[in-house]
Amino acid sequence: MNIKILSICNLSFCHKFNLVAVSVFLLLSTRLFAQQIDFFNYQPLRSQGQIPKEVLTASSVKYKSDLKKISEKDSRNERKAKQRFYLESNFVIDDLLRSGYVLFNDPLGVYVTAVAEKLLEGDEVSRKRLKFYVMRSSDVNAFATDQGAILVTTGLLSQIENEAQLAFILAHEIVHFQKKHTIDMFIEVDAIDRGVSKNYVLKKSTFDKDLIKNSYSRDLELEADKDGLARFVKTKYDILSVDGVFDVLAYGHLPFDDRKFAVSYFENAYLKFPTDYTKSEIRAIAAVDDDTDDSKSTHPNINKRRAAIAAALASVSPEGRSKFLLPESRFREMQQIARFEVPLLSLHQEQYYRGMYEAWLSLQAHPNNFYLQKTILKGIYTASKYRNNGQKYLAKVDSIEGELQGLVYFIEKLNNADLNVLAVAEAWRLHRMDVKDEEVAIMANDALKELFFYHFEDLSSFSKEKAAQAQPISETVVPEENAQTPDTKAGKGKMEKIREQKKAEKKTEKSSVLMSSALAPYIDGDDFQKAVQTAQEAAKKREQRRKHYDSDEGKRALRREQLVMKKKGRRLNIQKVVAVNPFYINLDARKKNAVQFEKSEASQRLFSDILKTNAQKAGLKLTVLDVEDVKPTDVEKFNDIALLNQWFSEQVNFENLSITPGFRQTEINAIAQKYDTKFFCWTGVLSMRGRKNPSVYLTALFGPTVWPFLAYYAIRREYDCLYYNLVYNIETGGFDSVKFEYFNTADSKSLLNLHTYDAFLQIKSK
Amino acid sequence: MKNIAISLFFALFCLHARAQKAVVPGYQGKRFNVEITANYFPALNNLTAKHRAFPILSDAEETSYGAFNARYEASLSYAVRRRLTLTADYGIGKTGFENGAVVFSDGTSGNGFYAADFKTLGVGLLIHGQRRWGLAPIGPYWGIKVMRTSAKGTLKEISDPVTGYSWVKLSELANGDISIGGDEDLKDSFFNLGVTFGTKRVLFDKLVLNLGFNVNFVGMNGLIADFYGYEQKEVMIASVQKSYTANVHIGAGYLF
Repeated sequence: MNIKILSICNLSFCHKFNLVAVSVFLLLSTRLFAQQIDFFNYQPLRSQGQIPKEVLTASSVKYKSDLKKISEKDSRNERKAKQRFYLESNFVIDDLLRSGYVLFNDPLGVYVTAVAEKLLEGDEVSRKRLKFYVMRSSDVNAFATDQGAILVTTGLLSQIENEAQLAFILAHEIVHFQKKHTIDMFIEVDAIDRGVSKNYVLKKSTFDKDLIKNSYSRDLELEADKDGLARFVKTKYDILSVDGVFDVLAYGHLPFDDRKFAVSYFENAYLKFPTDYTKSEIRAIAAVDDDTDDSKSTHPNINKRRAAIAAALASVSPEGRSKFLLPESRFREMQQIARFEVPLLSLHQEQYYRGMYEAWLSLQAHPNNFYLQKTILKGIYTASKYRNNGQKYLAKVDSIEGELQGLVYFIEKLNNADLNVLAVAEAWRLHRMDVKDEEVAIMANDALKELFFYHFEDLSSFSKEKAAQAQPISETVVPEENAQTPDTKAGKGKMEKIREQKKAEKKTEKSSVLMSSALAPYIDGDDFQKAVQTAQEAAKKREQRRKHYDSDEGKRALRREQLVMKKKGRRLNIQKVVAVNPFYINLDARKKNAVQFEKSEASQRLFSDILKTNAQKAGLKLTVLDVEDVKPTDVEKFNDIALLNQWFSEQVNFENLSITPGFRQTEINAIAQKYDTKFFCWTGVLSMRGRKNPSVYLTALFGPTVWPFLAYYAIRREYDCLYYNLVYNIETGGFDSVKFEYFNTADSKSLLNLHTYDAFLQIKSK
Repeated sequence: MKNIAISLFFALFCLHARAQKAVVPGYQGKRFNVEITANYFPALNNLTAKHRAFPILSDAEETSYGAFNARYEASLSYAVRRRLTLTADYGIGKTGFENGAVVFSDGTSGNGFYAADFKTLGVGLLIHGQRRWGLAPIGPYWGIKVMRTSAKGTLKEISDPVTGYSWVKLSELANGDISIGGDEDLKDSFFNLGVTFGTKRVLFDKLVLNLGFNVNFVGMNGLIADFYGYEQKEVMIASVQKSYTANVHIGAGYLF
């Protein structure tokens, strides 16, 4: 299936997020609950308590309320710009707050709020208006919205060194909010674009305009630094820590620590990696140029910021100040949580090596931690799946800085078969540690299936005897019979050489003697043997299926199946489905701001009703999980939606890899049990009013024959509509694209009824 | 005709019973549609009575239902498959010109009257283009239709005796006038074929609006009066067999 299209959820989110970037300031620029965190059985963070009411209030209601803030004294253009700002910022920020990436009442958020309270002491107005949230992301970032939400990412919390640094960052963001920098910047950008800005002598080129916009943004950043520092200095936080903030920001693209990676992590009693599996020379972390030309940046360069801070702090005594006003243990615990969160998020963001390395880093402080080891396993398992599927490498070793390069080097040195063996070995090691862990069990079995499907027919290469004879891979990469002197090789023709090379490569893939020892600890176990048998059968069936569909007869059968499917539908025989966050977006390509926010919100509500009505008519049991319907007390439902959406987004990223388990699969399985079905659907509509192509009217020159067609073209409204309905088995990751259709027509209610009913009938029918 | 109608409804019943097992969505499960459709102008190749009965007439005052292709149909359609609708329809049409002056192609005039009633019973298949968003019975479609037409015509022609055209059948009346043709009852039954394109939209989840364009290939050999000379009749038949009507249609229906 062409699921790429389906990244319409993601596309839309990205589009919206771009708007966020316009309307918020990014700063490239936490007392936990009293309870102790069980790091060994760590559970990723979830929202708790009550969901803030303002998050669930309809964006259109907030927008209408904000419109009252626009003064009649403003010029017409300013009023229009403000109107657009309130529209976009309300809808986009709400989208973000409801996405599930933002946490409510979680330990990190509580800590961040406690630090913020130190800054806001005596400022009751701001205390009431500001809300501090943590956003689940491995990026190092913080930003403020015009609505008073200040968001800090888990990536940032994992990297800062002390509470004072967090306090300075929060102080900076508070200024952005108080000084209304977001709306100010929006209006100024609008004025610059229209060439009516009062602040600058305007030049005409887009490039010049961009430079001026950046310059304005840098001024605001410096103001936020300066005023934020003034607020910061009023507290007892250590002023010397501020300087370190800029280093945190400058090196935020790197993992939160830099320690030499030890390949011994993957070794066992039988498996020892030779020294050449450890990279001897690591590429040092490149120093960031603190005095870089910032004319194309929205933020001043670090030297300028440091200089401004140093000047402001010149008269401030560092005496009597502290890096921690709250107990330091709270910061350390908060940091640990953030560092437990980040690896999984890196994996989720398709940064597999970084995720594994960060988990390994945390593992140094928490040896034998099951959660962290499982995270590393997920990375290895996913990398192996990608490589088996034909992707050559996930990162270029030479492009990596710091000790992370050691891990990347190690994995990239393993051939596909070896990496698959390593994934099996790791999965079975953890499976033996906790046989009840569903995710590990699934990975253990699936990695075995891959092993037999892609690389080996049986376990003869993995006997203990073989393990005893194991030699370093580097000595056996090229089998003896293929070793040739340059002379003999030179005497062969081009094609002959290529074929031999291919043959040699293929053999190398299968002749990893070293890795034959990797499975030695498990090979005699009954459970392992049973799993091997199952995996072999599954691989055999898969191979037969592959051969069948590669044959002419198979291709014909496939065409027949597709034809029958086209005529009769999919007939999935599913009685109950949960629809997760039905998605709807109306665009108008004729307008500069294409997203029709208010219309989209209304359409989304209507679409939810259409889903319910048609499910009832089709006799399908349907539950709609929609953030719009969530009540403040319904935090569990909110968490379920967030988790399901993240799971879905990961599945979409994996495309046709059928990675199992998905994102936080154990929790996903619990959701399946809660809703009494494993079938969840993601459905949505993208409707766009298009532009007409004026050049079409030139065909009028061909004479009166074409005029009626042109008249029709002139009166006809151009619409594009995309409708999708994907049904996933959330336990296995298998899915069916019940609907993925493009219509050259408007998104009428009857069109949606017609296809929604059809989709549900296909899901339900036998 | 009666037998054909009974056969059609029986066939529909059987198809419905069979189609229950297939995944045929219909519109929210509604697969039947009763509809009244009018085939109207504007039309191409608008066949009128004067062309039909008197090809050498240059003008005649047409009746209000002058064109043959102003027809009305009542139809019952049923979605038998995801993209396929089967229709059965009963249609009526009339053509004719007023009892009055007619002008011959040589400029002379005479008196004439012609009227013909048509009744059609047809079956058709409408194929909905999924790529163009339609699913039976709603959305864009194209289709073919086979119709059995029963026609009844009356011809009356009185003209000046001096005309003396060779194509008329002459008979001398008592008063010395010459009747050319006199009254003649014409009857015919024939099959004709049509193709249709259009789109059906739903209003209020129950009503259907059908807009489109159709072309019917028509033959009405039997409605060519005997008073043509043999050779001219052959020419007329050949002409009629090649003739077609093309017009737009608009219909209103009810889904159930």
